[in-house]
Amino acid sequence: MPPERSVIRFEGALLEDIAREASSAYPFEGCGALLGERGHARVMLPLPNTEKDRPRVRFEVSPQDYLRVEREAEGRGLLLLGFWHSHPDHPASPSATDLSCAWVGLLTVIVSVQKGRARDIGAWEIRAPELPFEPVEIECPLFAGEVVTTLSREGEA
Amino acid sequence: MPIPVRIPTPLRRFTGDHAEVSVEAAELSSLLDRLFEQYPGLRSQLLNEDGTLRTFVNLYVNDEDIRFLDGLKTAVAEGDSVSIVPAIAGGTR
Repeated sequence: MPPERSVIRFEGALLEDIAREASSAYPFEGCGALLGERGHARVMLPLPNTEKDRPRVRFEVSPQDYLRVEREAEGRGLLLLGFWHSHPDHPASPSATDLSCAWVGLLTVIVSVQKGRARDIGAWEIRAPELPFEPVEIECPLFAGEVVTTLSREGEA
Repeated sequence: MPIPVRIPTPLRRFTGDHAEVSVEAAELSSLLDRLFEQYPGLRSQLLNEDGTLRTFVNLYVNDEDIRFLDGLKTAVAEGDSVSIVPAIAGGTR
């Protein structure tokens, strides 16, 4: 029997905040942190992409920003749930690089930005270091815009 | 004196969900040995089989990356703190 799929609920306009940040980073990859409670993202913190050599196809969060994000989560009484980043002119599905960089316990959320406009979003997790990504269902009951469609695609991990 | 060690979110499953633990040591390598005695699951997350620091993990003493100090031989003393920081990266390619 396949494992039960995880669900992440996004608070209010969080997906639109992410879409806006991802679009404004174009043609480079944008990124940010997601804070909340288990299974419920409440806050998005945009972060600078500190990848110097290939920021159009890679992102990196500095250790200083990582520590700042964890302290902010603790100060707000929230958990660090994971990080989002954008794939400019590429699908919102994880690459081999994303998989090699993934951590158990941190969500990988990917936004596809096509020609400067956020078009799609997907969330993924790994359940053990050697396992492939599993899709995480995104739930956003208040989201009614057209910029982002929340898709959980089978078989694209 | 015990040195506070900050545990990042993805590694707290190995420390009983503790965000910070304290370890007595005068050097980073012995600090890690004692940390692994208490929390054995951390070893493979932080070190390669040859004992070197994994690429995807950064260790900071106060605000300094140990790669720019004396590596695992970096001395620690009262008032210092150690942070384990996972590398967060990825991308299209």
